[in-house]
Amino acid sequence: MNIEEQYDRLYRYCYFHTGDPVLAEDLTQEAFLRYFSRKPAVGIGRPMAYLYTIARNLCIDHYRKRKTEEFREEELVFLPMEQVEEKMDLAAALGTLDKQHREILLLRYVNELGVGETAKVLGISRFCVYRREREAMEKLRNYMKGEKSL
Amino acid sequence: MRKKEPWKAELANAFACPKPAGKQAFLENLKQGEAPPESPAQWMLGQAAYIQKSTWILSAAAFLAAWAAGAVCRQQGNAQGLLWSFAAMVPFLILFAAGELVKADLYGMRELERSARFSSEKILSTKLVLLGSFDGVLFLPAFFLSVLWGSWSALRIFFLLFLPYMTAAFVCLGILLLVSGQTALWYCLAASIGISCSSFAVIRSTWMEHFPLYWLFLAAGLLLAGVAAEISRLKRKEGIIHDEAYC
Repeated sequence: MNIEEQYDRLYRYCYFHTGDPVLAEDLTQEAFLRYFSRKPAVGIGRPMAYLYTIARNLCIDHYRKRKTEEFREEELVFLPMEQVEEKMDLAAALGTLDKQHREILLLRYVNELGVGETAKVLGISRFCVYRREREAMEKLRNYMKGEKSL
Repeated sequence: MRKKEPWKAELANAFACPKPAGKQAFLENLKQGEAPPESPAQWMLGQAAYIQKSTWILSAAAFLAAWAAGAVCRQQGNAQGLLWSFAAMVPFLILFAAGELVKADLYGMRELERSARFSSEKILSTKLVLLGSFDGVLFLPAFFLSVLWGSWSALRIFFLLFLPYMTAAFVCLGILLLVSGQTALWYCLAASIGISCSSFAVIRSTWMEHFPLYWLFLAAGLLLAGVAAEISRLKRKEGIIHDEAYC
């Protein structure tokens, strides 16, 4: 595992859940520490899925303590600094998706996890991953088509 | 390296986030904290040090006591006495091993074990290998002496020592899966005593000398499969407990 590369990806994933860069980094580091404390070289079938599961559970635990689930739901789309029209469209399109669909797109296409790994992290079946992925892509496509036709 | 499709790059930008501030410092610390690699032999010796000396001593003492009892029987003209005493002794080797496996519950060490850098499953597997190997070291002289001093075939003697051992392993592992703490140890003690007395009675019976070997072979195969399944469940249980602590 390329730890440097995975650090960035895991941090992005934690940022997706928390919307707070400092907190996201804390949770990323905590996830790595717990992952390595288990000496994962032995006995884990999907090491990346395990790492992401730790991170996800840390994010969920944090918000259970903070009870800010409702606030977090609104915060999750981060608009990039360069407001190029296409990027705004895609970011806006992402904003129309629900959190589950955004999470699938992040894990599958940005962080490049496999279908099995994504299924394990989210605690759903592979079929469910395929289905949500397809739904998300279709919604994005429809949104982008609708925007272009305006 | 495959070039990322343009829309995926755009998607990555849409999920962009501020740069992490403490990445390099964290990764540097992580590298410094890594333990130097260990050979399997070093690992085994390291784990053997954590097994209580009383476990090794009691196992050896049980072997010597059985040998002494068998020698006394032989002097009194009983050729099979050594086999009876060893067959009655082997379930207690499992009891001493079970004591080692419940040590974490007995002394409240579960939290400590979960925070160790090695997985609970790996530690459990290593303990089982170490304790099983030591029992094997005691089993071999018990077997050879029983063959030397007895009048039955080597294969029959092997099964008559192996079956009580595996029966005790199967029962005690089942107890450990269902019960925890000191209660498990008491149940294992009762099971070992029961299996020991039963082995002694069965082997002494007149029909055991001519009992078909294929039944003994079948029983050994079933018990081996049962013990393997229970070890797998025990390791999974340890893994689940470890994961719940960290996930």
